[in-house]
Amino acid sequence: MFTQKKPATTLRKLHSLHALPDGRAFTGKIEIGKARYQFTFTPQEASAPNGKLTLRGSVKVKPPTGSARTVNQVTASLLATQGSIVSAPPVPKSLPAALQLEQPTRSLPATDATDEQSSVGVLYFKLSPLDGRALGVPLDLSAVQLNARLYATAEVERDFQWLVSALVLAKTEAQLTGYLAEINRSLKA
Amino acid sequence: MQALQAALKPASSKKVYDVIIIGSGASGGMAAKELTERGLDVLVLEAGPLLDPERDFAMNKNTWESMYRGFGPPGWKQKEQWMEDTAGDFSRSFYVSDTEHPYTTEPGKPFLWVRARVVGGKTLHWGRLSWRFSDLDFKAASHDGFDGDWPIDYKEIAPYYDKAEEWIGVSGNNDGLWWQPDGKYLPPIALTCGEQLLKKGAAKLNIKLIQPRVAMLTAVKPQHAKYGRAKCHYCGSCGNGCTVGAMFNSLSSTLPVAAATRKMTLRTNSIVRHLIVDENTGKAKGVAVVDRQSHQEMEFFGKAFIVAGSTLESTRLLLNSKSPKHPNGIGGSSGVLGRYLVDHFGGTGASGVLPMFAGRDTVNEDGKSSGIFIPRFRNLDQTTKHPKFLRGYGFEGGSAIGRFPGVAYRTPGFGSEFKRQVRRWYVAPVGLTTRAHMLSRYENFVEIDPGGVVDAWGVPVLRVHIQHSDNEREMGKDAAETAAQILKEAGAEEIGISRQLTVPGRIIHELGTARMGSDPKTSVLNKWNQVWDAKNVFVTDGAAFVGAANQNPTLTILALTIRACEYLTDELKRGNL
Ligand SMILES: Cc1cc2nc3c(=O)[nH]c(=O)nc-3n(C[C@H](O)[C@H](O)[C@H](O)COP(=O)(O)OP(=O)(O)OC[C@H]3O[C@@H](n4cnc5c(N)ncnc54)[C@H](O)[C@@H]3O)c2cc1C
Ligand code: SF4
Repeated sequence: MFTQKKPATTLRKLHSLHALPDGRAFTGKIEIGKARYQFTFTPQEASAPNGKLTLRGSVKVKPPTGSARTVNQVTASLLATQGSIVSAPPVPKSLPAALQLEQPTRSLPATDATDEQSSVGVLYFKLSPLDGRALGVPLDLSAVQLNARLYATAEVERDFQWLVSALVLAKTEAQLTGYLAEINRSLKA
Repeated sequence: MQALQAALKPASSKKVYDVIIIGSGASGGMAAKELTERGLDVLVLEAGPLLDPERDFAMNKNTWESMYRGFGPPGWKQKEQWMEDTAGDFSRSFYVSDTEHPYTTEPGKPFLWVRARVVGGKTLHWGRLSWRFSDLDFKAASHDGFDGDWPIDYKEIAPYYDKAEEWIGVSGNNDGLWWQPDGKYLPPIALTCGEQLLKKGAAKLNIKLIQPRVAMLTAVKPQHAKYGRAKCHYCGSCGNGCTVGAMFNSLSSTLPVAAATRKMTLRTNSIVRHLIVDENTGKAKGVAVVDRQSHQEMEFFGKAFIVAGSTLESTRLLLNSKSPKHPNGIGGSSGVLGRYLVDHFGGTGASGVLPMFAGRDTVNEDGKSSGIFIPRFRNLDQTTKHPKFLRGYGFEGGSAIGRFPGVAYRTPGFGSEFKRQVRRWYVAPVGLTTRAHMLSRYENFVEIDPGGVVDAWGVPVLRVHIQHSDNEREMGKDAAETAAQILKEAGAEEIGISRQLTVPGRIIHELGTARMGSDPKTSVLNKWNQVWDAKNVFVTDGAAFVGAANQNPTLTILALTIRACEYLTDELKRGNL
């Protein structure tokens, strides 16, 4: 695979970026030495080409000094997820009855946070190539992976986690379309 | 520490080391000791930093010295170290930050992967329980027909168990149980009064309860004194790091030996991306490394390689080592690299209080932090055969008390009455939790994430596919009911039964994925932990396991490592590698 030494590039590549929900957005920070850049991805629209969640929205970066810069039409394509190990969030209050999930009955013990008790803990997205210079970040941002950890502390964040979890577990096309519509509704609310 | 500091000399990319060891945890540390003692020139590459016990371990810290009593500010774990389930505010520096170290799972089937990236690996905060496997485990398939046997038997590995126990120092008792073999022990740690009652309760059900066998020094032998290790003083803070060397870890017990030979170079913060293959021979010739802090890329070369990054990191490394000669990664020709992932499961069990101890005074031994063990009692023979599941489980648990009064969680109220109740019941807890065998199944596996997810250094990560079968669920059901029965027989009250199995990975005994075997078509390693496809590569950690048994695995990892190092040295000297 990478048996050759990598050629020296002027800019270090940012491989991944950790972000947490903040209402309908995801926020994180990029650290370069002691400098901290605040990063915000605000999705405005969700789609699911080939069943894979894709969010489209804007990226805003606020440098340690000076004003924030924003880039629009950024896509975040879901690469994979990591299952949560704690109990799933409650079912969104506004969820249409047709999208409610059935709870199977069991005669044997269940496994923590698994099957019907499961939820998604982290969404790993690939962001469309970003121009570090345009955002004022001295790093190569051409292939950034956004690690969105769904640590939900507000209702809107819990609803998003529930819907995304249902979406990745969807077994039918109708479920997929239904959950996607709900995600879009919540992004636009 | 000084000797270890001296081993932190610059590694050379021009030199060909006799052996490059990847990882410095239980297996890597023991390999460094064994190989340097045999005169080999060794480079140890460790992904994490070197901690200084005096400065970085919190053994002597009291809970009240911490703002959140050792738990950390609300939400910190969910934000940073969510998957590091056993981490606390005092031990967080031992564990990886999940934000930098992703892995992915199949939807609906989570896996908890607890990892340490520091010199010493998970030995800095492990539970120290040190059990031998027996032929009931090595030859499990011959007993019940499921899956295959290990390519070794107990007789072959017994001398290496002896060596490992004598070196690391295991306190315990010889109990004469054929399926839980005895060993070379330091004096055992006495059971507390509550544990004596548990023992009597278990005996009423014809179940044996024995003293724990733990890698803690209850006596200091010359081999321990030589490296400054002291006797345990029962402070109960092992999970925060032991500064006196009473518990076995690589920092106190194995790496200092390697350092003293002056044959070891230890390079910290060195993340090995993959092995570099010699395309003429198919053997490994070097490693590609990225520096954790500077992100600088580099290469080092060796004649032989010990892969000891811990079970899943080792398999990840092999899978990432793709080349024309090894298109599925090193060890990938059989198609079983990554397969047969297991973890013990726990979760099912019971807890309660022993009312006769309410309000008693505490004694020093209450803090011994070693508990009890109930060895497997199902499916040992025809008379103990269970109709609903194969293999078996044991129980850990006990009636000892930690610094934080766990009973406070369940005590209602507040103010002085609350404190009075907490003090009264603090000294009376009792509990049993399962440690159970999970069957090794082909369909439980890891692969390099097909979506292309990488870690903070751009190294491709694992995607884990694992779930329990009805065999585990039936076992869990039986375990929960039996635990409650034992507690009842012991005179416990307020018995609560836990009926859910822990999420795979939670017991931190992830094993398999590069199994050893007798046939290169169905295994990754031969019986010497040597990769069939690249004979100068040895995988010495839990990845090599064929089955999980129900006993904690580290002693077996150490014994296999010593045995593999002996073989590697002989083969290297004979020019066979
Ligand atoms: C809280 C806790 C309690 C436990 N209790 C017990 C118990 O009671 N009994 C028992 O038997 N076991 C127990 N275990 C498990 C035990 O710690 C492990 O089985 C043991 O440490 C495994 O040893 P290892 O050498 O395979 O891996 P580790 O000890 O994890 O060491 C692996 C090392 O490799 C390094 N590494 C990984 N990847 C790379 C790379 N790519 N490049 C360079 N370096 C790398 C890591 O940084 C790490 O230092 C417990 C574990 C924990 C966390
Ligand atoms: S209880 Fe013993 S082994 Fe554990 S930290 Fe204290 S002295 Fe060390």
